[in-house]
Amino acid sequence: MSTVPTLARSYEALRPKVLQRLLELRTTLDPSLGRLDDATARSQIGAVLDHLGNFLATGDRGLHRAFLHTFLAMRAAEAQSPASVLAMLVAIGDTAAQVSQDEGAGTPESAELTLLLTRVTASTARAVNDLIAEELARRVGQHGELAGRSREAKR
Amino acid sequence: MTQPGAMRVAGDSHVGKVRTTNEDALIVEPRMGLYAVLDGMGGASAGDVAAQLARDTIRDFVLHRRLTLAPRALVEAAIVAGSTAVFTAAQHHRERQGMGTTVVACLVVDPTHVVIGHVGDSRAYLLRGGRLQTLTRDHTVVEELVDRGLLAPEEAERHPYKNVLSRNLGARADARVDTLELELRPDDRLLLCSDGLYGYASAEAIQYLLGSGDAPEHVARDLIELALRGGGGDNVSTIVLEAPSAAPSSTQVVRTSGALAWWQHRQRFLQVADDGGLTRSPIVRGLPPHEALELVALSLCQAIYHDLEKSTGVNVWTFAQNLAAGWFERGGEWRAVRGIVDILGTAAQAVVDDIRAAAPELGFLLDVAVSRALIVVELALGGLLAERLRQVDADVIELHTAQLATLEHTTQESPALGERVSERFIDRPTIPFLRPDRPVTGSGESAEVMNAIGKALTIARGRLSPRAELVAQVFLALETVAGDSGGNFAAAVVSARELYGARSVDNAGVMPLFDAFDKARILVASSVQQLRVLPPVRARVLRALSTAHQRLVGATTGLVLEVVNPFTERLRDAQAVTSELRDAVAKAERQRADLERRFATIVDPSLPWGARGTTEW
Amino acid sequence: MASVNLTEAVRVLRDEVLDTVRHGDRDPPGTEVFEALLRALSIGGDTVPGLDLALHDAVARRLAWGDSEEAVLADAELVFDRLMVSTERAFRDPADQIVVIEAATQVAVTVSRVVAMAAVARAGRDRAARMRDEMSQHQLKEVLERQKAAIERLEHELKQDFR
Repeated sequence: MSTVPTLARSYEALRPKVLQRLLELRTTLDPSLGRLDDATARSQIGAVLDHLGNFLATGDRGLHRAFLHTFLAMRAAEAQSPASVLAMLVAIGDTAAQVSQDEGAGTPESAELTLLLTRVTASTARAVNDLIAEELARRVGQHGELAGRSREAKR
Repeated sequence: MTQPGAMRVAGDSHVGKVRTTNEDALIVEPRMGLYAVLDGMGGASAGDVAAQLARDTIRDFVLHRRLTLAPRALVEAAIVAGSTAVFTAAQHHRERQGMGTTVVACLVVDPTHVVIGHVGDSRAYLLRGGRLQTLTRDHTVVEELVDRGLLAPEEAERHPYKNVLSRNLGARADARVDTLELELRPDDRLLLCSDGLYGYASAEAIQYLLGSGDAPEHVARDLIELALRGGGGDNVSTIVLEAPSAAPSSTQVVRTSGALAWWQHRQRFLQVADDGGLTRSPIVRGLPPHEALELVALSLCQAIYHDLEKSTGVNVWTFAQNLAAGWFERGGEWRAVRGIVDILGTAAQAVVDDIRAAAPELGFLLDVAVSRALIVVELALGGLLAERLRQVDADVIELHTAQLATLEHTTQESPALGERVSERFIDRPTIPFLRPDRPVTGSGESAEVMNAIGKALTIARGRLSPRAELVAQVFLALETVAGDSGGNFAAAVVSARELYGARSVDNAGVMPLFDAFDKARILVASSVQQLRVLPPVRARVLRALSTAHQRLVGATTGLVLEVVNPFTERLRDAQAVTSELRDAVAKAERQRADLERRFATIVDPSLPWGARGTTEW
Repeated sequence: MASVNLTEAVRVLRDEVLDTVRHGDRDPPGTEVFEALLRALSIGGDTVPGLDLALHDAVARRLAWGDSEEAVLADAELVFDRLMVSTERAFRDPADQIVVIEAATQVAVTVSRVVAMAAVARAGRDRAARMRDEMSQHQLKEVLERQKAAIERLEHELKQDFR
């Protein structure tokens, strides 16, 4: 397998094409992306692609999780459901892999990059679900407290 | 499998289980490559007139103009022509005024290129790689409000006005048509449908049926059956288009050799899953080990096999949903699901590594395909988690609301018996009474009329059940308001406050008052008919009492509006705080991203990927 | 008067009741109330509450499009009051006046009920939205804490690497 810096560099070279494809397809990828104006969509998608590049270079799961946690919380504050954020992130990863496949003309390097991007997307989806589950556990706890208080008040 | 180059299409329609007329219409014209679903609206069968008229107009327009207009312009112009036809027809027939129709149309330019145009809330979906995407945005008032940032997408789903259309054919002579062009990939499926489908079937179920690999005519019919099982409260129509399959390619290799190789290594999959501790997972507690392996590991192995064969994700999706949904229903925790999914992921990777060692090219393709399958597992689980989160949020909100309502109720002062509520009359009268152009009616009635008003109310009280205390209070209020010579406004406001008292701000608190108003109105009207007075006097009595009634109800509604305003103000305050926090988070994120970028440039390239970053969470 | 004739007789009052000269629109404010009145009269003016789905839809549509509840209520009340004046002037037969008054009252209070229901529903939505906002705030505060920790850690890592 090529050293990852090579693949990370290949990704950086592809990134403008990935961004362009995502901006063109954004309505079909996710309705919430379709609603954004061009500048905001470019900035939001661009942030994900930037981070993806860093993750490809570092493989640092801690940083990856930190980014996803922030991304999820910001989208939640915009009333976007975590399932649709997950779908959007997966769609971005899928598109990056697809562009790598289309532009790579079947070279071994492009094939490896496609595989790495697919694995990174799987890793992203896994991390997002763990974060959703954490938030769910917190809210279940909150519900338990409220229910307890409610029972006390009735007595 | 479809022959390369041939697109397959089928459509179906059903009246549903509640409606008596099918006001949907379809266009299925393979010769022209034109397909469309139209959903008519308007009383007394005007809806099906509108849908059929638009259908015929669009079809004829495309037939005659397809050689002279570019595809996108053709679709747009055809739909506009349909709107003109419906609008003109409505103008000429009074009973058809207000009729209209939605439309979603697809023009197949060639097997890899389509144009879609739509107006209204009939939809187009794309199924690609086993995942369903909505291609069109509903033209509803609620969606327009979301676009303008006045409503959050989550709230749109729950909004009571979510079905109110903002655009349809026939409301005006022209129409604003949304169009999009799409490049189709091999085995893509398009679905055109009316709201009778998605209003009664979940997106997951639609995805499942569309991705089943069955022929389009079966899928079109199965989708309708799905909607009928979901209630069938509306007409339902579906058109399914399937793009041609690809010529032999890497996809074909995976579908044939890859799927076979995967299945041939199933024992390895089971072995690694067993070694990984699957049989000790709480999810399969109580099952003999071989049964646990069969139920979970073998099921996933089979699901991946079938999905590899058909280039879909539907079987893996179903597996993941069934595994987790059952566990969550039993009160199980996420940790167990994560544990078992990771074990299965490791087993899948072990199989792929083995195949790759023996056949590198095939193994590589399988590596990508199986990674995609694991993504589908996570997507399915994410959907379940998000739904649980939504449910818990709703329960938290309900509990919190109930606690707040109790607090409001116990702290709010109720007027003591005999207390003059006019002493608590606020400075600002309720808003509807501020209209300067409002004629003052019902003041200065004669003694004869006032006397008759009293008699009518006495008759009405006599017909009241002793338990109808609230209606009795309404009669008292009506007497006060009708007797006020100052135009009824102030008296109505004061009486409304006395009637309203202390109520919770929800339907259970407020609606009984409106029900009492309605009962009182009906009793008063029939009591007036029983008065032994001359007809002109009877008419004046009814007018005075009706005016008093309208004032009272209007004042009460104005009061309700006052009571709900603080909720909006408190929401705005909360939104301001959230906005500040978001800005702070965005600023910190920019700083973090910048540091991360710099960090990424200094990693040691000799370290394997995944072992470079040392930052912990 | 037969209900058909009465409906037509009331229809003639449209311009004065809706003040179309001033508004000049196809649909002046309060049109939904007047149309509902004509429908009620055409079925005999029975005083049965809440059956007019078209009126419910029309009010719901106005509210959905952003007209305030106060505006919808005020328009209905204005139309009601003008109807009372016009009815007394236009109809000699008290029996006809009574039919129109009953129908007009039913329509006006139906509008009030729909507006009240919408306001109560809005209160519920606002209350729920505020709570969701508060939950988001909690999540964002947590994120802010973690971001600070991540920033500190990254700054430390970068210092280490550049030494």
